[in-house]
Amino acid sequence: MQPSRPLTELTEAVIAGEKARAVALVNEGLRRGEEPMALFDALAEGIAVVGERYQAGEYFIPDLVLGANAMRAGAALISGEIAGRQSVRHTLGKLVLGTVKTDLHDIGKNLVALLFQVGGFEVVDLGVDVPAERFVEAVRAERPDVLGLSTLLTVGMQRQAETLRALSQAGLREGVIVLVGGAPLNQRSADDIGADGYASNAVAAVALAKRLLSSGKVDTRQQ
Amino acid sequence: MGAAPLWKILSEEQAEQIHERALSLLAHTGIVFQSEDVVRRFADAGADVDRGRQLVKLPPKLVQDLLSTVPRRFLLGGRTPAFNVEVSADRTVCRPIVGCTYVIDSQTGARREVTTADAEAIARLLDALPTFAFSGAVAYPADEPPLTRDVYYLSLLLANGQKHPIVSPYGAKNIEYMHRLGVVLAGGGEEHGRRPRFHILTAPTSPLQYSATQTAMIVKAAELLIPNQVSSTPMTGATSPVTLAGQTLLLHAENLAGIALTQLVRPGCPVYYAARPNVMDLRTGNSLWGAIEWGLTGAACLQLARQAHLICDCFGCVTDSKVMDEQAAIEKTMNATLVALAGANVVSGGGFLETINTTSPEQLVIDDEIQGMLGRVSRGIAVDEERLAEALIDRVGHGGHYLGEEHTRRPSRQEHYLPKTPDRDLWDVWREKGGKDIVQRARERADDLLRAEAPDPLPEETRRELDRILAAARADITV
Repeated sequence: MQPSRPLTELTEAVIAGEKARAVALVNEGLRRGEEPMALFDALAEGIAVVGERYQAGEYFIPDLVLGANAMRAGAALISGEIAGRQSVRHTLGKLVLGTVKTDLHDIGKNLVALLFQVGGFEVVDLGVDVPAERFVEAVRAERPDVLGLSTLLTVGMQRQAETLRALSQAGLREGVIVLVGGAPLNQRSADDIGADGYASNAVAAVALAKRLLSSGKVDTRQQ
Repeated sequence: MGAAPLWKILSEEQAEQIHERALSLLAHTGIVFQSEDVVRRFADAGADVDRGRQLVKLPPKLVQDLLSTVPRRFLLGGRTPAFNVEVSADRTVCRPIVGCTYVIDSQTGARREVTTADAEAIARLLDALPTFAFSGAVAYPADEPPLTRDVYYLSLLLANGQKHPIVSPYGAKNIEYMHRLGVVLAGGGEEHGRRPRFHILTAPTSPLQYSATQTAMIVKAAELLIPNQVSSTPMTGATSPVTLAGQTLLLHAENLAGIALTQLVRPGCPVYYAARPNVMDLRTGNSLWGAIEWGLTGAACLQLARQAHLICDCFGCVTDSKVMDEQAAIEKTMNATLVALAGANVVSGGGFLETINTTSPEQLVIDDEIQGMLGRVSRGIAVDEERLAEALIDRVGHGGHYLGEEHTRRPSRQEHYLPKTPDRDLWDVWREKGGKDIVQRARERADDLLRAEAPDPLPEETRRELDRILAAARADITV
């Protein structure tokens, strides 16, 4: 086995957000008999650098999105090969999230999904206009560590409360950390509806989730 | 204020090009209205529709025909005729922000949630601040549950304010109850149609879709002849192209489609165009409401609206600053000046801080001053015999003065804007008067205005009728 191009080039493709190049390099690597896990690690290293540069203020949101797209496209080609191993090695936890019923706003929600992915979480995005029952079904099926409920609308707070009630009725409330977010919300409204946490932006949401997961489910007001 | 543009950001060719592209986008890419009924109506009118996707492709001719029935002026009714306001494509008026969640407490300086008492005080303050031609649902009180907060707020505005308010409603059913409130004040449905006592704003969810809720609200307002401000709010790099030209194109197309729907439902119903060119902070993804691009893109959209003979509202006094500081002053003044010079028919947004999350009475007073100065700017410099005063200059001659001239006394109040809150004293005098900054002086002015006599309360029976409608809304709107 003699790889014509080093794995560092794959890492660089992710850092540069070049999806086509990442896909070509993964295909080429597989053809030449490269170990799939080594390819995955090269992709993961790339997205870690993207995350660091974003935190350092060198990268902007589009760099983050393009980097994540390159990584996802590359990982999709080898996911079969490394099934089972990836979640053990690279997942901090699982997030299910969506924008609540009647609300179509998804930018904030997408940003949260992205930063959770970059931060090492497995993410299941239910999309927008998600009724309480769909959240309940997804929590039952996916068994996430964290559930994220997003809204931009004042009435969306009501939908978040309904979803929390539906989770309790289904007996699923205790098993999941519920985070809420969106412009009309604040810590008090999150407390009022019985969420486990509120974050005002995507970066803070990831930090909060990590903190709650590491300390067990706690009342965020005491943090 | 007159609305003749003193400044244009686009050439005629550029403006025509963007308008043509908007029509082409609506014809080829189309726009989603999440309503079977609306999709069917557009199909009946000749649009190419995809019922499964609720996608409507509008032929340019259809859009043009629908836009041709939009009124170029309409009346907004106040408590008394003295508070009526005409909104038209030929003039500029100002109105405050709608939809803040917090208020800065004048006593403590802390940001906190809005109470009913705050909302009532702000309504009275707006009555007294001269540049706000009409009023609005500035800060929604948190002591009313969310589902009917809009209806509750309108009842407060009608009971405590005399100026006509604009409100952001939560749904079509809420609009029906709001309309019932307005009809009580107007003394009948027909009278309300002629002189509506409130109006609303609606918005697409960019890019290129109107949600079920917003579509239903547009239809309901048109049916009830409630004026509607259609306000596309695409965010650069997120829900629109990152380029200002691309954002302008998308915003224009979305607004034209929403306005077209109003005319499809009820030709001639009052509607106007609002430019809300939102900016994403590329570093954080935060939605910015004070960036200088607001004024630029706002002026471009305004030019397109004017070209399409539509009344246009632009945000003026915008800011992302959390406090009443120099950042707030810079962002507000820069952006408001750009859209005022471009001839916006409604300059809106006065009174907010922190990316439309927060308001304060002091900021409303300060923004009233900015708007007052802009009003003076818009009037320009009049040049005629009387104002040139050549004969006077000749008479006073060399080395004399103009202090005692009748000519000096007479036109001074028209020629010069006389602000209320900016300080103009010399240092020692300023110190003697307490050495206050503009925020302190604005607080005192707000307090003075609020201490003035309250307007006549509504008749007891009218109050009770509003309360009955509100109670019915609370019982009815539960999900």
